[in-house]
Amino acid sequence: MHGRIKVKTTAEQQETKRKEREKKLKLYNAATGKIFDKRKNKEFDEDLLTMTGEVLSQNSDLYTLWNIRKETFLHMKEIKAQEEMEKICNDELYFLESCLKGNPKSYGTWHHRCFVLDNMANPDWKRELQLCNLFLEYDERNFHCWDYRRLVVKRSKVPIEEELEFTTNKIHNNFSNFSSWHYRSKLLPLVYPDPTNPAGVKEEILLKEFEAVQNAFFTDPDDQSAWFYHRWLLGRGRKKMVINCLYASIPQNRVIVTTSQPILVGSSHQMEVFLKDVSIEGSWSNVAGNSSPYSRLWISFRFSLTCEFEAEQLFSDSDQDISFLVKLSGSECESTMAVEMSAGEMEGWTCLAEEPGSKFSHELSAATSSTLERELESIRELHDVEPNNKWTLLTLISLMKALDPLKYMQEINQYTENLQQIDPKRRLYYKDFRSRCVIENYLEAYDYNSRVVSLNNLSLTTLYHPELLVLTVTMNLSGNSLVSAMNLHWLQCLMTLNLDNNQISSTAGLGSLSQLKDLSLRNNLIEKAEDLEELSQCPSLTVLNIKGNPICNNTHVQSIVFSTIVRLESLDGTVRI
Amino acid sequence: MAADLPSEFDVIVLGTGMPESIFAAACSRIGQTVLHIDRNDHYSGDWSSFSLNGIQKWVEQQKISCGDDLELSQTDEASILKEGEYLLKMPLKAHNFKDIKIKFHIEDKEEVPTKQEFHAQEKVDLCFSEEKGNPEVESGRKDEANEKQLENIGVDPLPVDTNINNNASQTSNETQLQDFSRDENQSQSPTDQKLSSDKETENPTEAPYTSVSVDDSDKRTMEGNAISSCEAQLEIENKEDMSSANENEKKCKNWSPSEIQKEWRKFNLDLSPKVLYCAGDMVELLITSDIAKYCEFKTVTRVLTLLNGKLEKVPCSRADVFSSKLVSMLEKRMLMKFLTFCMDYEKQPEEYLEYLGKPFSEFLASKKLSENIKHFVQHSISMTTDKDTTDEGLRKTKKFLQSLSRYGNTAFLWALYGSGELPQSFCRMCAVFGGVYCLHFTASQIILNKEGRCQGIITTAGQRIDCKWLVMESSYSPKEFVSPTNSRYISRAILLTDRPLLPTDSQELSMLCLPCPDDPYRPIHVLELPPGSMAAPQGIYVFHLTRLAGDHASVDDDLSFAVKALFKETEDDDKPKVLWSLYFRQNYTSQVERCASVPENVFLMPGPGPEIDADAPVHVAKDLFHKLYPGEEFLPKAPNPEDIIYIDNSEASASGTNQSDFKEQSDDTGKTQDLDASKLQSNEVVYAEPSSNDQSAESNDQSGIVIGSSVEIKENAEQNIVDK
Repeated sequence: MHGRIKVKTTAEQQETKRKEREKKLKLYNAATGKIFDKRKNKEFDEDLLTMTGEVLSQNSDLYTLWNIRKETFLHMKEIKAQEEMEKICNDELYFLESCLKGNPKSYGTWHHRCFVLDNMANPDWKRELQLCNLFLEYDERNFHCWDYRRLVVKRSKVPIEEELEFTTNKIHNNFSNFSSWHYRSKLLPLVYPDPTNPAGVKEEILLKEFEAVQNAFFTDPDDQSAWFYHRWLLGRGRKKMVINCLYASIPQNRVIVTTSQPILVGSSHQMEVFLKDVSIEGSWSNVAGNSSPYSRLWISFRFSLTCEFEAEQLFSDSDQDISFLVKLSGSECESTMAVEMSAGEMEGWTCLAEEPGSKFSHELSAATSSTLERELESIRELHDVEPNNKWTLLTLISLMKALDPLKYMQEINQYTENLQQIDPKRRLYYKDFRSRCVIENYLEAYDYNSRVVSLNNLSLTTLYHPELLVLTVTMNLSGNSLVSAMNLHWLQCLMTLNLDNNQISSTAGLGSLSQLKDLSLRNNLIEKAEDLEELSQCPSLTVLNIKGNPICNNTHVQSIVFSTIVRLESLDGTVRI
Repeated sequence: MAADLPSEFDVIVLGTGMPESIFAAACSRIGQTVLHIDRNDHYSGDWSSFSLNGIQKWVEQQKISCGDDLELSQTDEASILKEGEYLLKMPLKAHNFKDIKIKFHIEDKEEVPTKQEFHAQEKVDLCFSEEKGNPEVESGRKDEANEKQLENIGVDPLPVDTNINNNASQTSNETQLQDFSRDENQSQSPTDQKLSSDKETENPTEAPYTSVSVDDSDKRTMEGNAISSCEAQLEIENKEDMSSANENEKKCKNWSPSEIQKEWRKFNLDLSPKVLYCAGDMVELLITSDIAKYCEFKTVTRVLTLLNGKLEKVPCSRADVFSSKLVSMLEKRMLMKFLTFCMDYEKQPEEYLEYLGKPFSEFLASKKLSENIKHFVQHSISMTTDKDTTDEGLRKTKKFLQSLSRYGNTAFLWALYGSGELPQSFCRMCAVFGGVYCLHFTASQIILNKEGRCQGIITTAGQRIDCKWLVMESSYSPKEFVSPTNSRYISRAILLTDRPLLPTDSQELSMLCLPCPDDPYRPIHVLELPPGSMAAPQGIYVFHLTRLAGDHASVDDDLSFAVKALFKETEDDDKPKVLWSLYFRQNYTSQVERCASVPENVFLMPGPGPEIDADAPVHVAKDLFHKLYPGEEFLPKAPNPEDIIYIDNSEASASGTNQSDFKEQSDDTGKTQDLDASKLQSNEVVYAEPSSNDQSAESNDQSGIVIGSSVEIKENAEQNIVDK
């Protein structure tokens, strides 16, 4: 039609674009080639700055070029006058700004900015703070900029109160901004320290924060940043570093120690054993093995051999009382625990006495229980209107567990059930949560001196707190949903173990149980002889029951198992021939 | 001059209001020849924005009953008409406004200048603006502010997401701004130059809060290998160093009429203020057609409501709800839940099915929302009355919600320099594609043949111009074409005050929907425009009040509820004090019905209606376009200037050289193959429009408009930019 404007076709446009790209690539390759040549020849001059600048303004993620620039700067700093250097640095800052505008999330650019400012005689930190403000205005979730901001604040000594105010404003603009909430969690303990708790926040401020974060999740309960902050507010208690339990056995020639936090003996902490006030040597080992060098369970063998007392004398002289003392020392902590054994006793133990109900309640310790109660109330309100919101439910059960898991067990059961349906991707997590509550409730009432644990038919998916079960001799875990025996390596005194009717497919974890005599694994998922291999390391294992496992379909199962576990005397009731 | 016009066009459009301009642009865009004329000496007709002097002059003009200042050439009918043709007289003037009352509510403090002095004063200003661009005092203050800004921020506030490739597409509207404010830039410090490449840094003090430019991000998405969608790109600039300006405002200057009058150029007062829903059809059209590049926008920063006699900020968005202290925790959830439902209510028909056709308020009641929440949803978010049905309410709520957070925390955009800018942008697109513009010029008669079909028009200059289609704003049409029914009035008020509705630290552009006790079905819509929206000089706030007129009440009665509730009554309240007011009633045609007498190739367009937004004209123009040109694309995206292949440049330049009143004509017209946007600009024939009536009588000589492959429409805004 007449008068219509003729426009290039797509093919023509593409051709133009392709040509442009080709040209660009050629230029780019030529430039980088030249740059590397110059670096090789150590020509750290303005030219190099210009050339790297041109490439970086197109692609600011080329970290090597930033490094070349840094080298150039350090070289220039030595040969140039200070004023001149100051000018070069200022130009560099402008250049960096233009790069950041093109790519505000480039690690190299932000890092180079730190470098330049740290190499300036009089850096203008205020201006840098404004720059952060600006970039956080454009993208309040640019964590590169948040990181840089923290550096600027540190260097320029900006009042932290102002920073706190800044996070408040940012959150008001958009509360789905975990960077802001997170920064708050770092600032609050500094601005409003709790006189009674070194890392805590003043109670009245905490309450305000609770209100703010409630506003957020009542507005949008699906926003996880608010919930995470809420969780932080509730606090996470840290237990003091102490020895939890000490067990000594003369026939086994060993001392077993559990601690409240993982340690690495010989590195982070030292542990010494005293027998009748005399230090005895021994080597400490960690049952968990190499997978994690830090552990809460440490065993020392053969203490008596290097002892100054004759071993024979120790055992024959049965009239004598024996006392062991273990001393734990590390940076900022010292803890001792002693075991008294009357004459003739072959073993003895001591456990840390804890007030009833206090064993597990430390988990949300930053908040007082009245705060927790109030939080529970408001979250219940939210739950009433949003019964299918997973964050609400999760917070609800966490609060219930922290407050009184025994009282709320029925609700916890119900809600974990709901959670599994609402959020099937994490259903195992919820099952584990429930298992944990069940076990903690059991352990609250458990007397460790009885040394018998019955946690059967409770739908447990994993065994929590094995560190509190070290002394157990007889354990019944039958009829649960356990899939692994890994955690059982803690139960160093265990002699009889019933794991019937679970979904265990491997005996890994049982190998270190030196006292285990009788193991029942009926109706599990053991398929191959290799799955039982670890049992060959149990020196005392004589009775094993594996009826109802897939491996039993093999007609030669008996001979296979007997040949795998050479010490075994009885398998599924059949005695070794 | 009139003899210069070609004797035939595909389409003649009378009136440069919103629907006419959109339609004209759409026709021109598909290669139709378009003659677009307006009897006023300004663009946008009843949709126009005026300076203070401009609107005062407009008031005077409205009083002239008829006759008009349009000179009418006598024509020899016999020589023009062909056999069987006859003429129908067209009105030279519209009578869309009545009950106009204009008034200063303050008095000059001491020596009241006599009327003559007063005018002398004006003239001086005028000279300043023409010769130097802006008074010295002004520019000095401005520079200071600029430098201060620089120190404080020190970083040029280029939006983060502007990428290099986008610059090309933006150049045109940047230059548009830069051209006008170039003088200013040059006077600035060298460091300023660094900034000057950036859009909008030229007026940092005047644009203190979120400024948005709707821009097609096509390129950006293509780069990301995404499907090229016409999502809008958002550019936000928040300037922080408004403290100095704010302090001034807090003091609230004691204005005198002469002081206000002195600042006349800094006003942009709308006859028909329209906000744009961020996800509405107008914004969509501006983006898809790429016309957005001709305008700039501000976001409406808050929605207010009158709750128990107190003005409160309505929590609309997530962020609002989060920080609102008006509602309890549970209400927050309630509100968010309801709004989330409204976002895709169509998917849950069981929730509202039984309320279809019943009032929205009944549906809200059934949802067990608290009183406050109901109030917010009904009056501020959906802006419905008890008469509106559930379907309507849900649709409006959804539209509001969809519009939220597309351009920041807001559902509405406001065109910088007033909504009169919008029709002009469409005119500009029309002109770029060859549309011919004549202002202060109209059709005196319509030529009909014996079948009653329209053959063309006789212009006021006496020329016969033939056309295939004749489209006109309804007030242009011979009275024979208009049925007297359907005609209603809107009561309007424009008020200037000394302070904002609520004291704030930043400049707030607010909207408010006030249900009135005398007739709750006709709420008053209030729009508050701070100086940053370019509606007024620093320290003055513009309020637009709009309400459907009552049958018997006067315009004052209609609006008195809002005036009493919002503005100063006694000396000691701190409500805004009204300094100046303009009341009027505006006629609107709720529906342009086709009378049987209207020729089949003549179409009437409605004037501005009572709606707060500008989506209706888009539909009107689009429907007509599809009717006349079935199968043609409605305002497709303008091609990238780089991709345009010019063949008949000589023709274009020839048509240009005919004209006498160019301000600028570049030599290389016709030589350049790859015209980019900025070059296009320099080739453009700049026509000095006698905008806003304030440039004395001499400008009337220029009132014909110029043909060219591209015509620059000099916007009213120009003066304001220079002023800064």
